[in-house]
Amino acid sequence: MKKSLILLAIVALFAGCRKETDTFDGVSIQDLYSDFMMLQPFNVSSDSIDFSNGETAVFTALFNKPVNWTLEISGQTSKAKKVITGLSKRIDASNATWDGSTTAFPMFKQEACVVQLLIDGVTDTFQLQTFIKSPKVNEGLVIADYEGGFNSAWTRFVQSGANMDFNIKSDSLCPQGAKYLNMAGTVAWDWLIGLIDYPATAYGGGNTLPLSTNPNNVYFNCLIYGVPNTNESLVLFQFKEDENGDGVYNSNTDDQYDFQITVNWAGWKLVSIRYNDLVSLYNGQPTTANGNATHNPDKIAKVSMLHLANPANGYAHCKIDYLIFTPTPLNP
Amino acid sequence: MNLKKIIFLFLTCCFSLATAIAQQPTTRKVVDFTGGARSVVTNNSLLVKDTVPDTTTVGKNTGGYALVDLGVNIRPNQTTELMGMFRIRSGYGGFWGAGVTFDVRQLWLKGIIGDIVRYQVGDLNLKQTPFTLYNHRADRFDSLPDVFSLQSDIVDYERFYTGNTWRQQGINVDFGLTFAKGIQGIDFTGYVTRMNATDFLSVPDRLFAGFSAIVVQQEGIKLGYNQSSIFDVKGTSAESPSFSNNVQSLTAYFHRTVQNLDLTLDGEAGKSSYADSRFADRDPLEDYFLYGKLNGLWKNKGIGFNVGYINVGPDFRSMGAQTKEIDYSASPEYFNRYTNGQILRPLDLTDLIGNSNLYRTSISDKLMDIQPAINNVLPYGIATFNRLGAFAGFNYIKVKGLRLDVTQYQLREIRGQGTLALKSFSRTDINARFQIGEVLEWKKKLCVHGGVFLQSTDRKGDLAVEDVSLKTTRLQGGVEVEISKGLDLLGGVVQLNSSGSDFIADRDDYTEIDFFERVDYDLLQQTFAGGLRFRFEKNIYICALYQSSRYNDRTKSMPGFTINQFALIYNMTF
Amino acid sequence: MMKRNYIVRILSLLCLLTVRAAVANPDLPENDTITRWSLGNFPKQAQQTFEQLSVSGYYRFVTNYRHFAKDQNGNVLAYPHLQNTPNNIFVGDDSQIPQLSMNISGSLGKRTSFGTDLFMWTPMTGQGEIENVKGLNLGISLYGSYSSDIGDFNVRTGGINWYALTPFTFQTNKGYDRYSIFERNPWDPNTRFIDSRYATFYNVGAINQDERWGQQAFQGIILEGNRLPNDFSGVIMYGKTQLNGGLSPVPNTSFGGKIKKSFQQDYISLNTFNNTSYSDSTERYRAGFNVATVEFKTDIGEVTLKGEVGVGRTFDFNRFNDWGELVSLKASTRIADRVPTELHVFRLSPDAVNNSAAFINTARDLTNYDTYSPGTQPVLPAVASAMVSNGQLVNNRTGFELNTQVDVGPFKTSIGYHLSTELENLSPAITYSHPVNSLVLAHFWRWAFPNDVGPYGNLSKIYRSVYETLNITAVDSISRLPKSRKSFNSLELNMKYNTRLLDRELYVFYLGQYSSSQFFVSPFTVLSEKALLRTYYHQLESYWTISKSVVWCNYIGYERIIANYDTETDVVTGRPKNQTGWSIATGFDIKMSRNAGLYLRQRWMDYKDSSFRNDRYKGYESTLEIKIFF
Repeated sequence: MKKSLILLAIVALFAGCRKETDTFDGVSIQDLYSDFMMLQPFNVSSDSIDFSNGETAVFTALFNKPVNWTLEISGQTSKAKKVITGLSKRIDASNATWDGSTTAFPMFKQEACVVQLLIDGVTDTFQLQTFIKSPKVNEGLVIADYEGGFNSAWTRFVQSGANMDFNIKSDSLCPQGAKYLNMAGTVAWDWLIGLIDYPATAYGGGNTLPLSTNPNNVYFNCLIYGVPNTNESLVLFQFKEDENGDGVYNSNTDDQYDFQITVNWAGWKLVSIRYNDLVSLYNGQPTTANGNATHNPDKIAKVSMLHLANPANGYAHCKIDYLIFTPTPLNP
Repeated sequence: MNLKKIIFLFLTCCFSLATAIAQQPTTRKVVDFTGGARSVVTNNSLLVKDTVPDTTTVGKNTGGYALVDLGVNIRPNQTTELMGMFRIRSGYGGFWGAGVTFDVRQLWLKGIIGDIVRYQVGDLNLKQTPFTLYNHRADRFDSLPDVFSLQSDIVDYERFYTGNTWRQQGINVDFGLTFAKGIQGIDFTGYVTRMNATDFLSVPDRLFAGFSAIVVQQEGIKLGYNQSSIFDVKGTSAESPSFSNNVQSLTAYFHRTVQNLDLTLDGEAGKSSYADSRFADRDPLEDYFLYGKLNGLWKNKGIGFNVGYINVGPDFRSMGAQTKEIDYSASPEYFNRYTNGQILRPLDLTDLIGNSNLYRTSISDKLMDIQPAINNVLPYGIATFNRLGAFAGFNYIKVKGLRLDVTQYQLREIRGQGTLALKSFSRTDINARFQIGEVLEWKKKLCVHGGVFLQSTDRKGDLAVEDVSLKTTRLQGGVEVEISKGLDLLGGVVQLNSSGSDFIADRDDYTEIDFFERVDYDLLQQTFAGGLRFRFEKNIYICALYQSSRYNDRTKSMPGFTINQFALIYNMTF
Repeated sequence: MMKRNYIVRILSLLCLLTVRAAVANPDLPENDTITRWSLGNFPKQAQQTFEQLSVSGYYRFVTNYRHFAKDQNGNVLAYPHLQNTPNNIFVGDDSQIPQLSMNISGSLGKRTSFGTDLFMWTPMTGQGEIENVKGLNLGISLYGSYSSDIGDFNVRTGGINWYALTPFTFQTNKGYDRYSIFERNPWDPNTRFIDSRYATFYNVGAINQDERWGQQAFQGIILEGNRLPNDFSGVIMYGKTQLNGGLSPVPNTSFGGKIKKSFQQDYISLNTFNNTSYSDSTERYRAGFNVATVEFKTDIGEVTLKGEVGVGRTFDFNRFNDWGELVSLKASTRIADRVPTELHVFRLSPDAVNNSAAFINTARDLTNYDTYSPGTQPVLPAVASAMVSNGQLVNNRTGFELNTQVDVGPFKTSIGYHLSTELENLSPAITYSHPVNSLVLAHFWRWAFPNDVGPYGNLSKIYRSVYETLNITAVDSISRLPKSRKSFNSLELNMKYNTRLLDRELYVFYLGQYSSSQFFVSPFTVLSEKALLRTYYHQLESYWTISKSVVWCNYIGYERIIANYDTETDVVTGRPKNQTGWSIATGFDIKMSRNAGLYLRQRWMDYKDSSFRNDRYKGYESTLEIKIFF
C-alpha cells in the first residue's frame, strides 16, 4: 500500500509538470480579433451561366482569418434573391456554389444579377455581377403554374360569399412565371371558400398521373402566399387515388390522402411534402384511408385544392402558385 | 496482446462452453410481467420580458400523456431469460385512439452458459471505466432537492440511465476464473455493440467493442486492463471511410483498514487514439491520461476524506466516456419560440431538469457541445480532455440523519485554446442533507437540503482580448415534510448565476477547433417549486407540482422569460 | 509473433480448465470504485414484477350484406349516393367497435393498478396485413386507492375514464328503459343462459349494459374522497372531455366536482362542472360554460323526492352571458309498489349549456378555436328543437313527465307521458329520429358521422343512429324564426308479456311512441294537421327459446311521420313530409359454447316519403355476428 502511494505520487509529480507552451489548439484568438484583410479578391467562375444546362456559379475569396460571411445574389429583373452563408477563411466550391436556386421568391429569370459579399464586423462590401443565360429548370410534373390560364379540364367551385375572388392574377412579385391564383372571400356559413379539381386527364397521360410508383420518391410542392394582417387561411390538398383502375375515384373504396396547410405566415413560402408522409383526414383528423391504405402516387386520379377558413373569422385571403410533383423536395 | 487476440481468447471460452446449454435440465416455462405506467398532465404559461410586448407567442399550453410499459419476462429454463417490453403511449387529449403510439421499449435475451458465462444479447445498459465507457452525468443536477428529483428520475427512467450506464445494443459477456495459487481470480467482461448500421453507400457499419479483465490478487488488491474501441467494419459500404477511437487503460484498486481508518486507493491510467480517414491530411489524435483517488473513512467518527489527481491530455478522445448526456441543440418541449420575432427560446432550468427529450440514450461519435454557463470546469466529467490538477473532498456523516459533502477541484489546461495562455479552473461543491425527523426521532419525515456549487474559469493572456473570466454559482435548497402517512409537502429552489465571458470552441467533425466565438454571460436563472406528493408504495406516487422558472439574461442578448407550470404526475415505474 | 500466438492459445486452454470451477456472481453490489465488478451490463438485479396482470376482452366478428330492391322500371330503390352500389358487403363495425378488444390491467402494488385496452381489427378486404388496424380505444388509465382515518381516497388518472357526477353536470341520459332490443349492441355480453337478455329485460326493465351506461368519457385526473368525517364525500375532476379534447397544446380544459353530505339513505350535494376553451389562435379569448347545482334525495313517507337544481351560463370571446336556471325534480313512489309512479318536473333555461351533461343543447353554439387538432370537435353547435324519448332532457324547455308501470299477471306495462314547451323561440327546425330502421339507416354512411346528408341534405348520422331535421317555413321574414314557441307531446307505451309456448319460454314486447310538436300547448299528443310534426312508432318483437342453445327472434316495426304545411314542402309535389317505414325481421341467437355466441339477423325494410320522392329505400340487410368473451 505504502509503495503504491509513493509510486502514484511520483507519477503524479512527473505528469503534473505537463504543459505545452509552444502550441495551442485552433485559430489564434489574436488573429480572430485583429483587423480583417482580404488576401484573394472576391470572384465568380463565369460571368454568364446556363443553369438549365447544369452549369453552376462558383464564388471564391480568401481572408486573413475565419469570418462569418454572407453572399447575396439579387436578380435585377425578377428581384429574386439567393443567400449563401458560411464561416471560414476561404470561399470556394465547397461552400459557395450556386445552382441557380432561390432563397427568397420569386425565382430567377434570364437576367443580370448583382452578387454582394457581406462580412460580419466589416463595413466594406464586395460586389460583382454575373448573368443568367438560362434559369434553372425544375424536374417534375407541373400540376398548375397558371401561366396559361385555367385549363378547361379543371373544375372550379366558388361559394357565393362576399368579396369572392378565385382568379388568376399577375403582379411583379409572382414567385414563378408571371401569374398566380388569387383565393379570397368571406363565407359566413361554411369553411369552404372555393376549390379546384385537377383531374389526371388534364395532363394527357390517362386516368392517373404519370408519377413514380414509389411514394418515397414523389414530393408534392407548392408556393403559397400568406397575406399579412388577414385571417388565417387553410389550404387543403386532397390526392384521390383510383386503385382499382376503373377510371374514377370512389370515396368508399379508394384512398384519399390529404395535406392541410395552415397559412400562418406572411409572404411567399415553399411548402413540400413527401407523398408517403401524407395522411387521410376526416374533418382535419387523421383517419384510415378507405381503400388499400397504401400510398400509390401512380394511381392519383385527381388532385383537389380547397381554400378553407373559419367562418366565424370572416374574410380570408391567400395566393398560390406552382403546384408541382418532384422526385426530391423542390429546390426552386 | 491486441484486441483481436483478446477476442479470440474470449470466443474460444464461449464456444467451448456452449455445449453446456444442451445439458441444462428442461424446466417449466415461467412468464412474469414487469414494467410500469405513468400519467402526466401539465398546464404551462409563458411570460416574455422583452422591450416590445410579445403579442405573437401563444402564452399558454397544456400537455401530457399516459403510458404503459408492459414487459414480458420469459424464463424457458433456469438459466435463460428473455425480456420484451412494449410501450403504449397515449397523448393527453386524444380520444378514441387518437395520439396513440406503440413502441418496443426494450428487447433482450440473457442467460448463463454452463454456470460460468453470463451473456446478454439485445438492449444493454453498459458501463466500463470512467475513461473507456461511462456516463458521467456531467451536467445532470444529481443532488437536487426531492421536489426536482421527481422530474429528473423520470428522465433517468426514460433514457435508461442506470447509474452511469449508456444504452447500447449488442452483446455482453461476463465470466470469472478462479485460481488456486498466486491470484484469487480474474473477472472478465466484454461487449460488442453497434453504433450505426450501414447505408450501403457512404456509411459503413460502426461497432463499439471493449473488454475488461480484472485480476483479484487478494482481498483488497485488484488490477485491471480495459480496452474500448469504436471502429468501422470495412467492406460494409461502397465507400470505405474508416473511423477509429481506441482507448486502453490500466486500473488499480487497493483497500486496507488501519485501525478505524478505511483507506482505498483507486486509479486509472491509459491512452487513446482517434483517427478518421475522411480527414486524411490530419494526424491521428493520440494522448494519455492519469487519474487517481485516495479515499479515507473513519467509520467510528463518520468522517471521510478524498484526494485525487486528474491529468487528461488535450488530444485524449474517448467517445464512450466523453459523450454528454444532454444535447444542447435539442428543442424545449414547449414554447420552442418566443417574442414577436419568434426566435428560438434558450433552454432554462425547467427544461434541463425535466425534459427527457434533451437527453441522449446512447453514445455519440462526435464531441458534443458544452454549455459553459452550466459546466465549464469538467464538461465531460473527469474524462474531460485538456485538464490537469487535483481535487480534495470531505464527508461528514457522523450525526444520524446528517450528511455533508464538500469537494474542491483545482485544474488548469495543458494546452492553450487559441492562445498560449492557459485557463485555470476552480470548482467547489458543497452539499448537505439533514434528516431532522430522524435526529429528533419523529415518526414522520422531515428533511432539509442545501447546496452551493461554485465554478470559475480564468485566463490572463498577453493581450486583453485573450482574457477569460467566467463564474457560475448554483445555490439550491429544499424541504420535504411528511404531513400525513405517505403524504409529503415538498418545496425547493434552484438558482444559477453565470457571469463573465469565455470563448466557445467551434469544432469540426474531427473534433478539432475551427473557430472561437466569444460569449458574454450575465445570466440569472431561478426555479421555485412546491408540491404535494402521496406515496402509495416505493416508487409509486402521485404528485401535484407547481413550478416557476425565471430566465433573465442581463446582457440582453436573449429576452427574459418566466415559465410557470402546474403538473399532475402519477408514476408507477420501478 | 509465432510465440505470442502460441501463448495466447495455451492461455485459452488454461482458461478452459479453470473456468469450470468458477461461477460468475451476478449479484455483486455496485459501488463507486473503478475496479470492482461495477462494470458491464446493468442492472445486476432482477427487475421487480407486477403483482398481478390480467387480460380479458372479447372477439366480435360481424358482417352485413345489404341489398336494395328495384322498382318496376328497374330503378334501384335507394338514396342517390347508393344507386350505383345496390349490393354491399361490409365486415366489421364502423361505430368505433373493433373485432378484438383486450382489456389489460395490472397492479404494481396492493393499492395501485393500471388498465389499458388494445384493439385489433381487420376489414377483410383481401389486402391482408397492410390494411389491419391496431390501437387503443379507451387509452391508458392509472388507479390508486388509500384508506385513512379521515376517509378513503381513490384517484384515477390518464384516460379515458368513464365517470358521472349528476345529470346537469357530468352524465349521459339513462332514460326509462323503453327501447327495442332486437338489434344487438356491440357491448352486449354473452349470458350464461341464451335467453337471459330477454328475461332480464322482461323482469327488470334493463338489459345488461356496459360500464359506459349513463357515464361520460373523461381524460385527466379524478380524485374521490369517500367516508370523510361527518358523512361527507366528494369528487374533484380536472382534464378534458371528448368534446373539448384534442391533442394540440391549446389548453382547453374542463374541471368539476362534488361535495356530498349523506343522511343515511338521504343526501344533498353541491356539484359543478366547467369548461374553458379558446376561441382564437393567440388564446386571448375564452369560450366555455359554467354549471353549478344542488342535488338531493329524501324520503317523505312513501314518496321519494329526488332532484337537481342549479344554474348555468356560457361565455364566448370573453363575454359572459346571463345565468340560466336548471331544474329537475322527481317525486316517485317505491319501485316495489304495485304501480310505481314517478312525476318529473323540469325547466332548463336556454342560457344553461353543458355539452357534458345529460341534456341536449338546443339553444347556444359554442366555439373552440382548436379546430383541426385530432380529437377535437371544433364547433359545438346547438341542435334544432329535438323530439326525444321520455327522460331525455333538452335545454330551452320546461314541462313534466309522468312515468308508471302497471303489472297485471304476465303483462308488464310501462307508460310514459311527456308534455313540454320551449322557453324561447330560438330554432326554426325540429329534429326527430327513425327508430324502426335506425341501425340500417346508419349503415348507409360507413366510418364517418356526417351531417346534413341524404337525398335532401337533412339527415345526420350519430352513433348507430340517424336523425332528420325538419325546417319550419312559417317563420318571421326578418328574424327567420318561427311565429311562436313550440310545444312537444309524447306518449310511450312499453308492454311486455311472458308465457310458455310448446313448453318453451316466449317473450313478447311492444313499444309504441306517439309524439307531436306544435305551436300551441296541448295536453295530449296532437293527432291532427295542427301539429307541425307527428311521429308514430310501433315496434313489436318476440323471443322464443327453442332450446337451451337457441332463441328465435322476430320483429315487426312500423313508423308514420307526418308534417304539416307550416314546414318545408317538396318543390315537385308541393307537399310536406309524409313518411312511412316498415321493417320486418327475424333471427336466431345461438349459443355455440360457453362464452361464445352466434347471432343471425335478417331485416327487410321498406321506407318511403310520399311527398319527397327521392327519400325512398327498400331492400334487406343480413347480419351475422359471432361473439366470444374471454
